[in-house]
Amino acid sequence: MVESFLAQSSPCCQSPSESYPDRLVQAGLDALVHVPDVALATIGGWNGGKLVLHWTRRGDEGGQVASEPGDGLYGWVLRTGNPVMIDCFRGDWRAAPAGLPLPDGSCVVEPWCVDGEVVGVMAVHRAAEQAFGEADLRQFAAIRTLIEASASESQARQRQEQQRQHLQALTEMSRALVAATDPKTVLALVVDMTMTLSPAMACWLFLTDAETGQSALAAARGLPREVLPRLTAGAGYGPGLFQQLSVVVDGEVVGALEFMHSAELHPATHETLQALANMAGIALRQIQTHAGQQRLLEEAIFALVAALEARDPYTQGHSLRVAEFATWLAEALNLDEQEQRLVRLGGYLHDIGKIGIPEVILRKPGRFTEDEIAAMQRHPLIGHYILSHISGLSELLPLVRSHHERLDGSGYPDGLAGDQIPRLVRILAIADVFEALTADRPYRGALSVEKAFAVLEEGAGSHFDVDLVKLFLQTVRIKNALGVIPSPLEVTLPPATVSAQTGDDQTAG
Amino acid sequence: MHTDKIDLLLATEVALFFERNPFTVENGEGVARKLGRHTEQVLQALELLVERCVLTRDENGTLFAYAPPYIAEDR
Repeated sequence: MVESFLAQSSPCCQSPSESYPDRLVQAGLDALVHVPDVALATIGGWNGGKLVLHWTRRGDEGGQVASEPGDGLYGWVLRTGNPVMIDCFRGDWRAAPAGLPLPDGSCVVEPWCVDGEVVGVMAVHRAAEQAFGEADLRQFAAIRTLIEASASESQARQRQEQQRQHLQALTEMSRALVAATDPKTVLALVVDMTMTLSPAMACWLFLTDAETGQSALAAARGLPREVLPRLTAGAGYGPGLFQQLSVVVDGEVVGALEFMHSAELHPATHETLQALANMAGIALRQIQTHAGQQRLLEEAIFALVAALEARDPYTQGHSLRVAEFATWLAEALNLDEQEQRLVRLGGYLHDIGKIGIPEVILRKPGRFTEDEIAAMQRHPLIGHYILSHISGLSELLPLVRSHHERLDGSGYPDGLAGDQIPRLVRILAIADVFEALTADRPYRGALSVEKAFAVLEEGAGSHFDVDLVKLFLQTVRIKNALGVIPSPLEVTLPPATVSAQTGDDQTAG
Repeated sequence: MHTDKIDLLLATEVALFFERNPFTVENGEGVARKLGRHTEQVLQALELLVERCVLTRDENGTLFAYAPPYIAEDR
């Protein structure tokens, strides 16, 4: 019998279970070795790809040996899942893993299972050629059942822990995805998290173009750059197991997350990565939709600016240049992307209220009367009123309404002072005055940059924020040295410019 | 490396940290301090992330940095 199973011994397949608690093993060994006449008991299982056997000799020491899967008697039981009982066992080096001090005599070797899968062996050896009776076998079976139940519970706890970790990781990832404002961040997150959470050796993401239906590689990690052009969706690359997860948004497949991995995926990992792929798809679509809305909004803004400049040709390009100067200052201040955008849009729209000023005033070539000045000073309020009807532009309202306010409270329309004037408004006010001073007006030529600086410095502290003026001057000097200050002729309105007409504007803008 | 024994949540945290701070070059202790975690656990997570090509390590093996993935230009 020994010969027959030894002949069939071959390297065993990998077991799904690689860990079981030591205390469980010790309790099992203690119970087994106390069965009458048992000289040596062993319990073993997989650990790190090896069959690790713990053993205890009655009244003596114990120990542990690790062997390659499939070695001898124990390996055969593990591989076949069949128990073996031998009444007459005489030492054979092929029968036992090296280092295991098996006595000659009789033995029973049984597999033990978790969730129907063989995950280890349990054996008892007698030092005499004495058959095991039914009572002995019942005792072994009871001990085995206890070992299996404990191991099953232990594995369930491990699975729960793994699921908990995956769930929390998913929460972390969804936070990061929600916060992402550009597609590159989302794509990096997907490939990084796939590599982090799974035994992936390489992963990549294909996205499908909604219009053409063509798949294109969007992101990859773990592959040499030169192989990327050769990657094909659904084909895999290199050694390992290939896995493909569809990226689904609103029931539509918009791409595929693919990876090569070295070991079977844990179900929790699979679920987490599927959720990640779908969340990424949703995040990408939201970013795309948001970008589309922003584009639409900006086109509408340019249309409004074009309408204004058609009525007030002397300030043609003024709004765009103010937007540019204000953006320089916002960049120099390291404001975040959203604030920079607000400042830029504020620059475009700050004078939009002039649409409500009679053309006879807007185009007047000479100095304004007091009534005309009062009428012109209504433009921030008119602009505020116009834009208040567009919910997407509500954040611009303070910029439009307050860009003529002054730190000392002498500005209009509300006479705000000091901290009542938001920082973005202060930025816009400086850019607005600087642009007005350096542009030609019918009643005076454009001032030089240095003269405009002097005016700003004179107003610093009373009209303008001192620190902002300093930073603005510094920024403009650098830009001036680089020759990048836009002149009125260099700035054109996208999508169309307005042809120059005659007229006048005596306000800063 | 057996991922069963690694805190995947911590590995996620470490990966996200480097993603958000892609120019960071830091040792295990420094990353642990920034995340408020134990150095030993963070080192395990760093090892895993190097193995998975998410991070790179300097020649001395002590400093870690983010290895940006390939992202298509038109994205």
